[in-house]
Amino acid sequence: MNNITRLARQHAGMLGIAVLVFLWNQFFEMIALVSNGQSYIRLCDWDCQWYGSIVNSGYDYEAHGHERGDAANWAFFPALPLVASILAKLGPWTSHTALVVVSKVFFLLSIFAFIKFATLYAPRVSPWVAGAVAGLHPYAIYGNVGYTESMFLFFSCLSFIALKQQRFEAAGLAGAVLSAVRPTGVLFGLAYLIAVLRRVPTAGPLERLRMGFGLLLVPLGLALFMVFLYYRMGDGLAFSHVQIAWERVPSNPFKYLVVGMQASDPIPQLWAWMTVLALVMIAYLVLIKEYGLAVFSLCATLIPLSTGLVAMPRYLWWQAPLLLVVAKCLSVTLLSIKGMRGSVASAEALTPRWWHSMPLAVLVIPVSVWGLAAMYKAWLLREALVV
Amino acid sequence: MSIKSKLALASLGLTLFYVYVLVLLLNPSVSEEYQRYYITRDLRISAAQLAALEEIVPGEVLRFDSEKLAFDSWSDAEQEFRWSLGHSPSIHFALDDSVDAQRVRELVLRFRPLERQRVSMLINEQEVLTSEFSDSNIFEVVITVPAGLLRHGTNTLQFELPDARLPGNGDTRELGLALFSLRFKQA
Repeated sequence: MNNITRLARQHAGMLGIAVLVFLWNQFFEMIALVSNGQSYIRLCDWDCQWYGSIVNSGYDYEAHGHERGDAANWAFFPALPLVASILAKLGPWTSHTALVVVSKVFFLLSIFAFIKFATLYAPRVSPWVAGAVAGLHPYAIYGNVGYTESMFLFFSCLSFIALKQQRFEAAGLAGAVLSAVRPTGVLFGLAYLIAVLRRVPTAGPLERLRMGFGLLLVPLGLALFMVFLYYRMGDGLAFSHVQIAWERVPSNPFKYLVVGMQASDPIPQLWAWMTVLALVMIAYLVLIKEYGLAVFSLCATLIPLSTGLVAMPRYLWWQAPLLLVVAKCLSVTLLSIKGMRGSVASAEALTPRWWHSMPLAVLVIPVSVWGLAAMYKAWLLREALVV
Repeated sequence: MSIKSKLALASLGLTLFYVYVLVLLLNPSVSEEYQRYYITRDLRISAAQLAALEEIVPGEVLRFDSEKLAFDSWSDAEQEFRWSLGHSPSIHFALDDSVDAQRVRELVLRFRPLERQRVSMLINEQEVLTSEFSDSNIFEVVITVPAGLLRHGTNTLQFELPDARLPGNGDTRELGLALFSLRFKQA
């Protein structure tokens, strides 16, 4: 009990920030819905409908969707619909409402977990900036619409936090759930491997065993899903094979990047340049020797990119390592002039004191919130840029 | 049992479980259509599309734009014909259950090759024609179908076109034959 009280006290500030950021996000969402004359039920669209089919009747035995009849819900990982199914059974919820509620709960938790993750990996990042980065960026919309993004961010933060604290079994367990959230979840195993390989030479036999056991836990969620699919419809890799129904056939990722950059349509161009920015951020992670985070993000970027640019923004901007780099950038103070001399120092006297320690985030977050509002409008109008 | 032994035992259990998963992954228990469409990807018509094919009756002329034919590796229908794409295009069709498949003995094809083309045709993986067409005229070819080769349900007519190529007029498609029609005849 004492431990729980101590932990609660220790994290009360972070939790408070997470709740406030989350409430801000919900406020903007409510404004977007009201101003577009829509209700909350409209939030569950696109992939959420597929997850809804899993909650309602489980995984398909045969493909049936799309014009060619080759699409099935095997492509969608089980962690989110599993939790939503439990919720739907507990109360008077429809599957779609349950999915939206679950994604929102995990959105709140993921903001909290990201603050913890960011301040652990980059102690100079302000919890406020970290919270705002996780909860108010334009693609934060996916935390509210019955998608897996919020669950993915939450469990990836938990995994990386436990890994940093060298709680190997906990990291493995969080990784196991992560691998059942999205196909890229299992990539945490690579980050884990990099982290433990650096420790192996100095570790004792028991610690090595704990490391090995943690590593073996990571793919467990994915493996259980594969076994389930095999006994359900005969193909343990159906989640990958069925991607053909969405025209997502693996190819050279850089080919898609070049084609996107040269496209006449501004949307694929934007997605391509966002991906380039993400690759630059990954290079930065390598530079600061965060090899585990870098490898995780590199693979979690290149694998979806190898099947095209569609939906790249949500694959990018829910990756904890990339959001960490954004939070670090936005934590840069606007005017670092302490200790400077001459005309710059005189500027210090002319500007208010609060300005000197104000992070860049203060200027960027309002723009980001405007982007979030634009994304909501696009979502409610079913524009292709938000799939 | 010590913590060390418990960890070692759990790790061994997980390893054995992953070996079991690997065995399942390497041996999918799926239909041939699923295997070819989703896994090897040498079939571009889904099982649902094949199952939805309207059945053909021998004697009827099936044009290049017939909805009773499922075209795999063929271009969109043009005004008069449909071009094959690449070296191994195929056409899938379903034979009406009321038809005696044994009595279907001839296949009549109307097509125009892109200049010189060596052409092999296979029905349900058995070769029924190997020939060479050396100019761009329209040909009507009558092919004898061996007894017992066609079956009720879905059948496949496959082409092997080693000389399919870019036409050299700026068109980026690899073309071989322009198909006008096909017709099965009973004996």
